[in-house]
Amino acid sequence: MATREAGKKMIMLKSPDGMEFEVEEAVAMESQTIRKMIEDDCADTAILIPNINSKILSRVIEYCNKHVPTTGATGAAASDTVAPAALAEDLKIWDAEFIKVNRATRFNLIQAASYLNIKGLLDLTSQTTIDTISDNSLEEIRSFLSTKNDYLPEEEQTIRRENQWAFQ
Amino acid sequence: MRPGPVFEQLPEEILHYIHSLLTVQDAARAACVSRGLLHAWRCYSHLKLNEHTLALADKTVEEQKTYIIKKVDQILENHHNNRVKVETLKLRLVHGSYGHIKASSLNRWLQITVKSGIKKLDLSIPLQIKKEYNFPCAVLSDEAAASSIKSLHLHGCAFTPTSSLGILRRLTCLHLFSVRVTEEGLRFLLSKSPVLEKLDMYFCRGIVCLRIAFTLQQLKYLSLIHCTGLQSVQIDAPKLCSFRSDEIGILKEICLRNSSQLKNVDLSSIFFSDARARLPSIIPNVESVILQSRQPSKFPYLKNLEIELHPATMPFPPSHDIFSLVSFLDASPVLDSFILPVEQDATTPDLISGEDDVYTKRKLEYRHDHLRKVLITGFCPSRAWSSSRSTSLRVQLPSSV
Repeated sequence: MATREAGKKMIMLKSPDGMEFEVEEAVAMESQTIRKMIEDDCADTAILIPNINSKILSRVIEYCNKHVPTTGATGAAASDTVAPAALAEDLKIWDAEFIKVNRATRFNLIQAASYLNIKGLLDLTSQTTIDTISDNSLEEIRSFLSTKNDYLPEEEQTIRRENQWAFQ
Repeated sequence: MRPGPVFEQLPEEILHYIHSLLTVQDAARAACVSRGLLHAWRCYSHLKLNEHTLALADKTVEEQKTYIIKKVDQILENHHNNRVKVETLKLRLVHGSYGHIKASSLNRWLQITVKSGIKKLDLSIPLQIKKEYNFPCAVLSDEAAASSIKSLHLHGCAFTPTSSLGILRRLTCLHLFSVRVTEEGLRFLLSKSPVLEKLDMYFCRGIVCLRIAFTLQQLKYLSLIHCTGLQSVQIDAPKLCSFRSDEIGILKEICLRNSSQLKNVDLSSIFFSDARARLPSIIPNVESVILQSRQPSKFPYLKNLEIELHPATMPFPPSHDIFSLVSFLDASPVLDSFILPVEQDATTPDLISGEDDVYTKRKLEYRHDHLRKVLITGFCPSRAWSSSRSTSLRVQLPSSV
């Protein structure tokens, strides 16, 4: 759980399973949904984040913490010593590690990113899903997406024939 | 913890969002995975068909010839037969090896795709048929299609609108790249585009006089690049804020009226060979001007320079001193007349309370020996202005004034 730092406004986020997360307002506002709540003055006390359990919410906060633009004294120090390109590269490597999660977590993160409107996280999780579809056979895709082949044999033949060009 | 969702149990809008990120080929292939993904494919409305998305790059030229028409045909026919509304059709098959694509095929694809619901049409004609290809304007005669399209991007064709062209009620972005269109045709097209915000013309050589009517109330961005036949531009669009022209030919006249919103002007490589060039009439509101020519930043032929400052539309920005206009005198060695009428209150108090030293150091580069008429009116008789600035002007101008 985050600790209060001098001069930084903190926001309390609550998951439906009762966990509370104190985060910097700037970090919370990486989520456009929360940003709107704060700007509309709907965030006086704790903000309840429905449908996102504490495990997923903590991962989302971890992502936002890493991606919040650095400002002020610490930010200036960081940008003085590290080139923007190097920072971007560092983030990319961090993202690649971050998204090494099991399938269920990834789908939960997609849902959370969508609800909380965090574009970077939605792009990251979606792209990972897209990559599994692009690079694999139908059986492998089914396995990655936890999807069953629910076609009748003749239906599958028809759709395969219709889209045969896509396999060439 | 409950088991996580499977892909198809994600909310539909997320599923469709992710699905829309797939290339058209991957989306079609994934349709064979399950009914849920088939449903997503049936809703796949952004068709971007090029050699990458159709995976043509790894095929030989001969293989491409065999597959390309068949593939595009299958995709568009399937969508048409399954009544999928296509929102985006981006057809870019310009490579020389696609020359066997016939105009009739292109026309058929457009006819079955440009329907109600189309938002973006981006069509690049294969190199080998671009010289003879006419865009089938009839597809935009259909009111439902005409009134839904938002962005039209044509590359390498003739565009000859007929009277049956529908009103393009939502068209905000028009990009014509190497499009053969007449002045009359363009005027007619623009008259049917009431909410156009962006007009980009590149290599459209058939236009000599371009007139942008006052009725284009929403036009904000105008770019005219390499339209080498262009001689005259008249713009009455009241909300224009950016104007770009990179003209190699001889542009004789630019006339902008109602241009109070114009902030950015980029006129690289323009020659003003005609004394009536009216560039200065647009300058007062402009925050950024880029002027380049073979003699950089010069108007070697400019004879009449008139700069009007109006308070209602444009208080002169405090960050710029009025003497910045002197650079226009420097840039115009054969100037015949310089007229600077300033309406009352057009300048802000900041302009006349600055450091006078700055102004006394300015000297003109040229003796303006051709300058016969100078008319400067409307400056308030403030102390600062009357003491150093008016003196400075008098000293710098030639004695014949």
